[in-house]
Amino acid sequence: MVFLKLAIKSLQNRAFATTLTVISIALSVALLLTVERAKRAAEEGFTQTISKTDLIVGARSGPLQLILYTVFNMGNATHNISYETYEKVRMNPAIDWTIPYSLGDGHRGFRVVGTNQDFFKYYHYRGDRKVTLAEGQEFNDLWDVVVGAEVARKLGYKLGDRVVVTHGVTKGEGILQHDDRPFKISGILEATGTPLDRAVYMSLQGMEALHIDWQDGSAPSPDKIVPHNKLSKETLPVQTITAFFVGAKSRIETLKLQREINTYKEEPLLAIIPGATLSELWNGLSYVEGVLRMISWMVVAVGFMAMLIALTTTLNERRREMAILRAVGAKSTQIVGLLVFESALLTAVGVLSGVVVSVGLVAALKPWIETEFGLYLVGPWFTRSELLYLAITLVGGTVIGLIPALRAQKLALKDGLSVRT
Amino acid sequence: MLKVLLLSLMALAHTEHGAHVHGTGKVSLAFDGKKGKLEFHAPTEAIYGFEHSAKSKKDKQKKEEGLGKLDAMAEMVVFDPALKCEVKKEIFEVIEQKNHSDVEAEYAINCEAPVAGSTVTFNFQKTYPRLKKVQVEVLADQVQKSLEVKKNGESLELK
Repeated sequence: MVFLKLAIKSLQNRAFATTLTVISIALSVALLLTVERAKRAAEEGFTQTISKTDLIVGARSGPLQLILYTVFNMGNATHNISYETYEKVRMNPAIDWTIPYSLGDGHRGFRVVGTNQDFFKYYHYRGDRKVTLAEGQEFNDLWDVVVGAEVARKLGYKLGDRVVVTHGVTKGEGILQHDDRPFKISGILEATGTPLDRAVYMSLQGMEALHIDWQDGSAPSPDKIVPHNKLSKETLPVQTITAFFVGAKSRIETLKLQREINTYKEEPLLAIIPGATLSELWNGLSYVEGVLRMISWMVVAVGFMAMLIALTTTLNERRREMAILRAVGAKSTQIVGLLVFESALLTAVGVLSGVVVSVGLVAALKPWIETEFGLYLVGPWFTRSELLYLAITLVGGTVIGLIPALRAQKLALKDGLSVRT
Repeated sequence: MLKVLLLSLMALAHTEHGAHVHGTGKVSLAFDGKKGKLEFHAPTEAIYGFEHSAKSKKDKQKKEEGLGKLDAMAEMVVFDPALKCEVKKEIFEVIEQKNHSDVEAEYAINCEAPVAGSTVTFNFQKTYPRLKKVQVEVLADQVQKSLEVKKNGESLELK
């Protein structure tokens, strides 16, 4: 109790330096915790970009390539798959639902996805979340498109605006514009914080309508253009799609289904379990986690150094205080104890403030972080490893207090009591 | 940043395992609540030391011994004891091709509690030391995870 009183009084006496020390420890602890939390959130956000989907099927290539072009709007498919194959595979009794995906065109740097209403019905992300419309309606007409939240925000789109699709995906203006076939925005998706926000969705028939009169990959000559008003959703046959998502009736059946698709004789197909591929991808990124963690620990070390400097520099001012304590009967070990206790107290207050700052920031910025950066802040406030880091910081801070304490112990009694000149 | 990382990972795609890589196995686990299935795939070289067809008495004995250890899957894939899981071998097959041969085995798993949410530990190398790397994929209700097991005791949280 005496220790606590003495330590508090002594710290109060140097309130400014004490506050700065606590702040530096608090900030470093907050950074360490925030990095860990961000890492967890990034992993959740990443691996939960798609959920409740048992398989993603595309033309045979690599699993990573398949997941990148279907889920992350990155890269391109090497081949398409025929609609006939899709129709045959989806008849498999083990399959509950499918979502077809047709890719290849773009709109001002954003992907255009041809799909059907099942996209709204079955596409899930982050556990149970479904794709919902913020305004408007699904693409019911052939010339309707639904745009992702980020597309609408960045391009300033609203319902009813005209959209011209570009042949191929380019960042800026496309070389070949499908400007003879403009689409109308029928709906805008609710922000998801996933790559879904960065795409334009239309019906499979809409995608086909863009290329109906194209021959051998080139635009038609003026005399061969099929008039816009002669095309309708009912009369347009879908020839190919790029990939499709599968929901199986049971997980056990999924393994068999995956094998059947992967050995499908009529067309080379690849079926992957998205979550497994995503977690494999994430494990490949684990070196980034290591780098981030190392940076946070370096910040903690800097915080400790600041505390060490603060304690050591004030030691000189405190020679008299130490000497008086010794003169009134305090043992040198008690002086050591007092100083170590002081640094433990500073560390404890610092760690506690750091925790409060980190938790407060995460709680306050959660919705913004989720939609803006796609970081998915779920799970416990602290994991076992984070609690371990806090314990290490507490012990580290206390041990560092030993350095100035042992120095103080060495100072002779007369050193502090002698008249200063 | 994520974009750059993902693109850099495109390069990793080239190191994907083919169907037959020496020392590398594959385990797929799927669970609907308490019931599950395990599929095991490995080159026979990792199971009994060679890939040619066993003709000599010594080879036949080695093959039998190696394949016999497939019964001990519960020691290689260890579930939380609280779940009281029973792993039973259903079928196994040695697929001999021109230059290579592989083992495929399927197991039925029955537990007393749902497996999703628990932790599974892997000890492949205890039984098959030549199995240096096992790619594990798990589908447990809504949980989908994967892990590359390189040493005994590695575990996967199904959360």
